[in-house]
Amino acid sequence: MARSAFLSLAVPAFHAPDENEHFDYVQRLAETGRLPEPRVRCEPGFSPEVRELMAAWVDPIRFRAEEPLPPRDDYAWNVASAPADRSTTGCGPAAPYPPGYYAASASFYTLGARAPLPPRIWLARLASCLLGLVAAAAAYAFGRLALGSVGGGLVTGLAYVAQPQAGMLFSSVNSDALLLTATSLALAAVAWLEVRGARAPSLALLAVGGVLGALSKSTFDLYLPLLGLLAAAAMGWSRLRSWILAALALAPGAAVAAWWLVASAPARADYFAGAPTAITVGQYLQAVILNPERLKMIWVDEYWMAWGWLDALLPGPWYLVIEAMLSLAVIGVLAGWRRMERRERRVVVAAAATTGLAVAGLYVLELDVVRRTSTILIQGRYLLPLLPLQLAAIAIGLRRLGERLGAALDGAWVLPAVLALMSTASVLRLLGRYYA
Amino acid sequence: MRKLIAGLVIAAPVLAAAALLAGELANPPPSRTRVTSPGSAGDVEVQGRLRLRLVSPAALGTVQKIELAAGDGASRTAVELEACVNGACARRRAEIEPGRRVSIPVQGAAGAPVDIGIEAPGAGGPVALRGHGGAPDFWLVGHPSWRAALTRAREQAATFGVDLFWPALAAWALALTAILAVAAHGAGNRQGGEEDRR
Repeated sequence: MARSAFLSLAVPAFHAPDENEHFDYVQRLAETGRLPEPRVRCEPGFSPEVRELMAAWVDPIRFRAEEPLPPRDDYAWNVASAPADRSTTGCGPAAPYPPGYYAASASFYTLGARAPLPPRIWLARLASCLLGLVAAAAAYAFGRLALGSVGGGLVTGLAYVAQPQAGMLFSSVNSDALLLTATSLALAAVAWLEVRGARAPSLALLAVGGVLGALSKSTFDLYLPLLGLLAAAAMGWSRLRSWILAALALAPGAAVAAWWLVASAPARADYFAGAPTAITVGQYLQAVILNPERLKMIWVDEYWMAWGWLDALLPGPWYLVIEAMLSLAVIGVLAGWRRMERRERRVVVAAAATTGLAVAGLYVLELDVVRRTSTILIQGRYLLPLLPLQLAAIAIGLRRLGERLGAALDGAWVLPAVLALMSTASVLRLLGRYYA
Repeated sequence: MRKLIAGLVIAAPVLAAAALLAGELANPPPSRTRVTSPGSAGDVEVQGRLRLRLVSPAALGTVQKIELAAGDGASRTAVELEACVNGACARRRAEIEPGRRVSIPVQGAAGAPVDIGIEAPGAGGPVALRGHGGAPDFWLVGHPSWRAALTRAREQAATFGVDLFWPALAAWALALTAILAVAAHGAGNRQGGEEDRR
């Protein structure tokens, strides 16, 4: 909460990833009680008051990392707008998304119904802050259960709250906040299933995670089957009962996802109505997937820290430190495999398998989007729904490397420490980027 | 000795991150303040020579350089820039590019008037210098300071309608310190961590 509360105040309005698009959905819901019009292409888009703020504080510096925030009084921030200035169709890239997150955020927005625009943006951000608290608790529970110790829970939970990119999502208006919370809850449920077996509370928690995920963002459709695989594996691969229980627990989420797939068909049709591109799998592989710059940008920079409009990055050496730490973790997994506990092996295998499948699924999805709209899709944060699992696996690798080398230190704690330092550097970057 | 080397290998990412953070803390960003000459509104074109007088806010401290931020509508051309403070002048030739900044060093105390001269001798016609709001957009760059950046961040945060920036910053700093303290304790307590398992 401390992290999210601070960032929610320190990040200028609409300077979080796609925040204006998500806020537009919130404003549409809060002001009219209706879902956005099912279109993603619209001119001019947004409410007049949002356009005015964007023109003053965002457009002059967006994608220009060397430009500081324009002076505060370039925008009349302390003036309440007329109702007509708040009217929006909600049409935009977020229009095809399910309404779960936006309904929660809109309920906070309405607390400041008479306030000027910036306070309403901040109130809308508070929904994400509270979701961050739930997600961090779920990450702790996952680490506690999956690694079998309070220390394991603290390593995972503290690394989760210190991860800079997740921190940005839990302090801005973005449906990823609910998506990450939902998958964290579901992963905690999976770990609970693994430790205590198939019981009603853990299956109910899995179901809650599934429903919340399906109400958060379409990307969750990719993670739903992965959670099913993990749940079945946790209860025992070889038993038919495990698969049936996993399917039953995730059935409500699947039903909600299917309902929304049908309900959002017009908006998605508009999204896919862009200019198509004839690109083969080989061309896509060569030009998009195997592009070294993009590989680093997506899976390193955007996964760990790319704030603002992905234009506020840390200096290069920070990402090298992260890469070095991940390399040490991989070496630790390979070198310490034989001495690993069974539960640790299962965490590592689950993290590697689900991450690989998610990456593959995202690329397949992106190829379809590129072919139909000529636009690329993937951002590194799309892998963050698996963050608790990935952090636990990294911690295991670092711990085992330390043991293998004979270090007196428990290497697992390197992870939250590095991320806490990186998080501090991220705030310094934020200050330099916007307020220097 | 082996334990020490092993510990250093494991702790290397933390040590490197701490060194990077220390380096960044020691190099605060320069404080920048946008100023527009009272007479410059509408003077968005340079034909021959344009002269402006800027006054830096007292809060800025020492002014180290002046930046001219050309807007997207600016002409792409070479200009001669001159900045004078208390009779001491600096000149430089710079390429104006849309959306880019050019800077000229000055040395002056905040509050002193800065006279700016812009010449576009080779343009053969008026040169547009459209910055923010139709007027040339100048930024006075002062001494590097975290305090100045934090102060401006706090002022901006106040637009959200709550004055909680400093308490939120203190809580965040406390939380990060707690994470580091827990990590340090946990790292040195390997045996305890193992015993804790059930």
